[in-house]
Amino acid sequence: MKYIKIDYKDNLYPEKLKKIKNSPKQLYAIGNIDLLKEDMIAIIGTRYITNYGKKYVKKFAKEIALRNITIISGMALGTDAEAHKIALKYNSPTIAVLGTGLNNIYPIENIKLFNDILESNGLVITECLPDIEYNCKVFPKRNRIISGLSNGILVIEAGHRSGTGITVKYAIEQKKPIFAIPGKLDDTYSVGTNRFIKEGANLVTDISDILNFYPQFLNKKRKSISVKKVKSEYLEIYNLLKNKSCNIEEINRNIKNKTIIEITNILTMMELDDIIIKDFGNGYKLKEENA
Amino acid sequence: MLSNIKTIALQGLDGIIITIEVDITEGMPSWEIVGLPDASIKESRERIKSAIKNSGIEFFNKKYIVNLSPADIRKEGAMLDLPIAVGVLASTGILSEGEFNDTIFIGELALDGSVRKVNGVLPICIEALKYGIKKVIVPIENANEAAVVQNLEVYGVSNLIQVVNFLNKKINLQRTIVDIEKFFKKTEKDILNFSEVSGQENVKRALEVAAAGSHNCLLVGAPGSGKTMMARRVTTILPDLTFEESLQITKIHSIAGKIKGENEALITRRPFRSPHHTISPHGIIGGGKIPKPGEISLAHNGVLFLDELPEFSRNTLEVLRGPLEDRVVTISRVGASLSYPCNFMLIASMNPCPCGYYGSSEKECTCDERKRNMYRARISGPLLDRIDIQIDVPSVKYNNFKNSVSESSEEIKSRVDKARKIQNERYNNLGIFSNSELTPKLIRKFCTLNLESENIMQKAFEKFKFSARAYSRILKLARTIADLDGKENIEAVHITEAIQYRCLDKS
Repeated sequence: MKYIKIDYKDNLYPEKLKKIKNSPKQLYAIGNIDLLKEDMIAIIGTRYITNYGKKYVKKFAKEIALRNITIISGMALGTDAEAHKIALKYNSPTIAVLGTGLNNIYPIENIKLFNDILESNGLVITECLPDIEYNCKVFPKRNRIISGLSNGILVIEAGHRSGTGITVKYAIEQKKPIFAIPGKLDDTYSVGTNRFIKEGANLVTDISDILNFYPQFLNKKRKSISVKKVKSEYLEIYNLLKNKSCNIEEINRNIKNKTIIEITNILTMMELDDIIIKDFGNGYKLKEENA
Repeated sequence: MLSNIKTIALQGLDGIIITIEVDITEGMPSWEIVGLPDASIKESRERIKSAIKNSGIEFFNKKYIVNLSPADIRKEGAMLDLPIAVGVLASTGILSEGEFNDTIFIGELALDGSVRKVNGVLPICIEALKYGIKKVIVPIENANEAAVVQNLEVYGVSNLIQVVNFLNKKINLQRTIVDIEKFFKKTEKDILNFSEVSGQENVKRALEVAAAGSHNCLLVGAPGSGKTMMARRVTTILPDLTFEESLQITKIHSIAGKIKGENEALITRRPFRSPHHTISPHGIIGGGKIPKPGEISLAHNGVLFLDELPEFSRNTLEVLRGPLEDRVVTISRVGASLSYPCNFMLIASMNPCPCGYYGSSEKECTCDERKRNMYRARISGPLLDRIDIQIDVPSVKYNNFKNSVSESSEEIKSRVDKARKIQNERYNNLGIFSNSELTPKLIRKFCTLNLESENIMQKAFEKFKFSARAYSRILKLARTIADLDGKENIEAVHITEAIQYRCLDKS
């Protein structure tokens, strides 16, 4: 793999990282290094992402990606991976910061994501030597790079004690704005986010809550996405799924004038026409761009 | 004096005629059984001695030699008690001289002289007919089972003295005759019925397709979504058994000793076997020193239901691969190498993840992606490839199952019957019975697509990245759906429905 080593004294070394405590001595980068100069938002959260987290990481990451603002995250399972994927989907730049060497992609499940990021002109960086393997003591330190490079961090979900909490700690230390999505009091993975809000993080309910914070973001134009014209025979199911994703049982209950066989056929055709997707176990939902 | 008595021993489902020769000579009182008997036959001399004595018949203390011929085949089981006892009595002259060449004896003896029931009576009687035997004398509890073989004179006996008197023509025994029609008449309705399942229309439809084409089926869903409930009802929508099929099932169950009571002489309902997931590989395919049929053979012509599929040990699941294709299993042991048929429909169920709630709207899943993947990886690809239908079972909310009317099993069954009839006619001379058995060559012949469905198929392949195996699975399913629809050719709607039944391929 072709990577570049960036020393502290190098011109390429991002100024932002020089300002933080304990700046990395060097960076190993692979991909589009120009991204390091960009303004960016970090999107972080638990690896054990819930349906609630999934819904809102999609909503906010999409809005950020549509304005071509770089999304930076840690390429972990769960929230991180979702954030990267959405950036890729809308052709928006994204940076992954690893806690292992570039020859030891961790977690291995995300190797495809790693390749996808590189393919779509994204960037993957790490401070570790290429052959360094996963080490739970060193790993969380990469979080200071995520917060250090970003102009602010958006926390989707966090448990009581979590890696996300570590990133937030670094962000406070580095005086970066922190945004958090509120959750229910009794949700395990909203305990952290709710606490951050109590301790002074910015409560986010709408994308403008983040954008208004940055004058440079306000004049960024939102890419428009073309909504496909939905065929008339799909409309009934389309309108049903517009409100919320449904499993086939719920669709069958709500559409009275069609037999289960007809519904099954329409669902397949809608899947083939890229209007809906079926999530294993989750039922059917509209594809993002059609929502 | 020398006597010759016949009986039949089973080797798997095949019978071998055994001649029991008993010779009495003067000399030191002793008793020798030769001709490769197993321990239970060697012990039979003690039972026979006591049984004869306690029946009030004089037992002569002489030198007995019992030979079981052919001498090179290992014999087992207590069912040789009665024929040996009869041989002993014949050679001592207690039985009046007569020809027993067309008669076989089966039964175990108790010390008081009563005759106890044994396993495997039906296959023995079927084989007996092939050897030209005309009369069988069996324990009274097995008489109905034996009488299923119509051309055989069956006499049920309850003790040894009855046998002696019958053979000496002192008493007359009633020949046992059973009315086979009666077994097939449904005296009671099935307890289980699909009308009890509310909602889940798509799963019911998938099971209907599965039943119509004898396709294997995997149900994926959260706990409590009704997977087991629906799987248990599949036998109610399968076609009625024919007499031949029923005989095959009863034979296997008889060998395994699963026939209980006199009323169950012939099994007329499709078996439903649901072994617990701790079952061993031998338990599932059959085994033992002299191999006995396992769960897959007991499920022959019926349903094998594996609840919580990923909990089964890897070995247990992998041994299913061969039998699922061949529909017969050959088990080799030191004692014997036997084949049992196992043409069953596999229905399996599993949760989408270890905690069970992935994708559920009711409860949050607590598993991460890695755990989920590991859970699903417990079922190997080759096994999954042999399962035609994989379907999501959504969880049902409480207020959804109030006041809903569901189709009954009888209505579904009538459609299944029709589709099966079409298949039977189509595959008349090909040696197969259902769409699930189609070979690649036959798929090309019977599952041709028109332009529209070809296009959909191509689109689906590009989109879902199906494997080549999935391609033929979808074609087979589409064929069954077309049969249910009564259509000669596969149409686009049949393909689109079939694609919905491959949920694990898509994700």
